[in-house]
Amino acid sequence: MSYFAMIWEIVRKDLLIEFRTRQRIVVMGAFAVLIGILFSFAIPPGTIRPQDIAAGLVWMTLVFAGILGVGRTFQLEAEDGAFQGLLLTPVPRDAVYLGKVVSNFLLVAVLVALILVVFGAFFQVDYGDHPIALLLTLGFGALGFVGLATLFGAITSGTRLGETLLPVLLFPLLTPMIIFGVSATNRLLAGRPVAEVSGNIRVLAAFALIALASGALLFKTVVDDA
Amino acid sequence: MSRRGGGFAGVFALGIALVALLGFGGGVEPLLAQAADDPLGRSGGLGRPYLFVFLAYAIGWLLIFGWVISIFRRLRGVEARMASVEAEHEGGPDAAR
Amino acid sequence: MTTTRTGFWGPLLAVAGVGLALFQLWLVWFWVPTEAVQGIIQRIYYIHVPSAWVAFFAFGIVALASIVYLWLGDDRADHLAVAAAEGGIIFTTIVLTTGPLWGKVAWGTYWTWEARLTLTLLLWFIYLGYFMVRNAAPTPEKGRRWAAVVGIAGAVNIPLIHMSVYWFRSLHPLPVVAKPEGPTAPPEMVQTLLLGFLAFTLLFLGLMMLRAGVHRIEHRLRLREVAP
Repeated sequence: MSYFAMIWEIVRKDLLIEFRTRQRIVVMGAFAVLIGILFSFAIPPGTIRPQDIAAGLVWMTLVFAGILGVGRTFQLEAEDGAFQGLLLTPVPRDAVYLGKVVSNFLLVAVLVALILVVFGAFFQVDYGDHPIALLLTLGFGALGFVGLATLFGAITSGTRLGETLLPVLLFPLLTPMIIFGVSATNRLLAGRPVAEVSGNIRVLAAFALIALASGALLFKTVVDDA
Repeated sequence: MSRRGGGFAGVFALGIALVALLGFGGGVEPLLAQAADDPLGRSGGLGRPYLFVFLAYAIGWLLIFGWVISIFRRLRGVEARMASVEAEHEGGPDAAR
Repeated sequence: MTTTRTGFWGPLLAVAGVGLALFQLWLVWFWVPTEAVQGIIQRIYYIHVPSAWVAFFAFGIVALASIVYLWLGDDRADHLAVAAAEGGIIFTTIVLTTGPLWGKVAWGTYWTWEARLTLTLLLWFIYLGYFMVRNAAPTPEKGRRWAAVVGIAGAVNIPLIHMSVYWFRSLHPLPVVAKPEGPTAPPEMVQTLLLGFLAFTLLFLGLMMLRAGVHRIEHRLRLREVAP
């Protein structure tokens, strides 16, 4: 079996589990909608235009809801010992990691779409004239987020503290993604030209690449015994 | 072993006490003089800048001192465990139990 | 006896560092001239800047030792990584407490989202994560490896975080009233600062080696208790 076929098998398995249980996507989606409702009460009506702060809200919702779902990547498989079985197969560890990243990314992509719909409906946010640039920004941001969150999720799901430890490990390292992602989204929502954000998108892509590379290299040492 | 550890920490504490004494006792005059012609020392003497510099150094040295103490407490615990292991050795495996 | 078990160089360097640091303390309080623009408060530099250097130097050691540990599986690298991380969090805390004290007088506020301040605060939390993972792992062996992963991932990200917080700062001009280092600093100031670098580096290296030695003994005792 080729390397990509192995990755695909992992992705297919994860998506099948998700499709049958619908555990994580329901939790993440419910979180995104509910946080939208709470935000509508948190923003004082009339004083601030939601359009001006929507970029920050979108990214914060992405991170908080994403951490709920991605943090549980290894939970279900750890509970019934299926992950040990997966490790016994002759699949390279980095293929397991990349498969997990792809399935988590698809999950977060659905989440992002939902967030955009929710904020558009609740706050009448206008997403500007450059949907491709906006999707690239959110896409590379989500990829970097998933790359780091999958690696650290593998660590925290094995600790006594569980997923509660994940934000402590993850948030300091997400700083570049938040800074460049929010500023690019802000400019796009304010109707600025794409040329102003292309640098940000490149940094987000580099961040995602570094996250994936370090995750693929280090994942083996996280999951293996001895 | 722990006595030597305590000795080291003692010397350390003594040094800090000495400098603190010097700072409060003999050395205030030059600082007062310097503070007087300090453009930002608006209180005209040992005001907030002096207090904050003192606080900064006190906190810094206390933190380092705390680290030293924690290391020597660990060392003491290790020495105690090691002593019990050695006793076990001399008395044979049964004697220790 | 102690020296043979925890090593000889650690205590020696630590004592030398403490001696030099005490001497530097004397220089700071009684010898170095007061800076013309900032006044007395500028004396915080002599502890703040060397501590910041040690904090980042320590994280470099954590990262290198973590790489060596994961690569070769040598326990000595792990002892070094723990010791450096412990010293690193101490010196990062010093930076984070002395910095705001200076900022309150010089900038008029304890905290601003100044790039270096932000970076140091994030560094502190990376160190915190390092120790939390170590302590919450189901087995000590897993704790060592997971902490090494946190150390390496943190070190890989620090340049990116550094770049992004500087970039972020450029959007927010700061109420800086004084330049950190004037171009015509008197030699006494430079000498005091340089002595601070030397003293704090020696102090850190010495205590780190001592701490690593203690950790080595703890490790061996644990191995012994598991399989005598």
